[in-house]
Amino acid sequence: MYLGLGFVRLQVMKASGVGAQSAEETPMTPRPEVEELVEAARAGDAAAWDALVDRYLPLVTAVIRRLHLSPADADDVNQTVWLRLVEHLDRLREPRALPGWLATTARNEGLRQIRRRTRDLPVDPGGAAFDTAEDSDPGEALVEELRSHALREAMLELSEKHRSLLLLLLADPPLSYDDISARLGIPKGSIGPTRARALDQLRSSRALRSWADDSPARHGGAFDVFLD
Amino acid sequence: MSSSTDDEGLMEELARAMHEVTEVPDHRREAARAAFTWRTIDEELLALTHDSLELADAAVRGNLDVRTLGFETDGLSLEIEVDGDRVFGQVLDADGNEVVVESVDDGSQTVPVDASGVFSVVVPAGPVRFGVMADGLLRHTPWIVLVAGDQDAR
Repeated sequence: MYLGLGFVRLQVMKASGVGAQSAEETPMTPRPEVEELVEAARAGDAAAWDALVDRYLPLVTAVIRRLHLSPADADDVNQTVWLRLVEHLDRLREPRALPGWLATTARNEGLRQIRRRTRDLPVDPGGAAFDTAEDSDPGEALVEELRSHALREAMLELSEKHRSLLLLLLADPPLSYDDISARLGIPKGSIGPTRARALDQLRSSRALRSWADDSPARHGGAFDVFLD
Repeated sequence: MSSSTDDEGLMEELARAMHEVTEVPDHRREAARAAFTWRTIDEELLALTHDSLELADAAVRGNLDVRTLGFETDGLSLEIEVDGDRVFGQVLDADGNEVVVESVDDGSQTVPVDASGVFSVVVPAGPVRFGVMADGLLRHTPWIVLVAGDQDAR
């Protein structure tokens, strides 16, 4: 897998809606809360809608990818999910449940496409469409994607220094410590300890703590709760 | 996932999570953003009450030809059957109806409805929704895909 680092950083900054900051250990300017974005989008603010899209599109894309749909079907599901959210905005009582609602809607609409294709086709004795439809236990798949989403949110809570270091350490192909040291202007010897602190900061982030508190994993993967 | 308690496990999870950001195709972002233009304020929806696709057990799938769906809100309901790209529908329990089929890619078309609420229309591929005009109010179904795009042609 290729992890174009510059691209990731760019995407992260874009997704956060916050420009680069020079701050050392200072946390980034707080991002708008989901509640604020939903409120603004309800009032017709297209920029707030775009910010919601940027925040949740990787999650929706990952959920759809797991279903191995044709490109056309995957595009249709993606479009349907966002149109549904547009029509659902006024009814969304708990904006914080939005990741779960989106993941569940994407999966349900994806499964609908699979069933329709299966019906449209003559009976396939191999049953390939269903056999390859999913990688693993469906509830677990959603939990994993929601966990990934929480991790991305957590990254945005880190200080610029910590986030930059983690992204450099994740680069593929990997960068040498010399490289990383030069890019960040920190001594090689402090990379290890800084990584440890960054991961601690990640673990204690609001995004991961609230994931631990009210993730669906704790409710036996009962995703129905997200659907109204 | 329990591995996230140690640093290496957490880094692996993080690598996967950040990789997903790079996997979003641009045209999906554009489609998602464009969806906002379909916003209508605080409208009452014709909620989906059933979709024969959801009863996809072997017994039901014996009937391969026709998919049926129902939508309802108080005092108004819409039943449709999908056969290929043609939809046969009936609006029930309301007078003076007019049905609109809306598509993101193909715009909207108004469909005449006969005295008993019956109509027939060819629907475009991709997400569509029906709007039913009754008692001076236009009420929409949720967006739903009835006809799939061609695998290659879109």
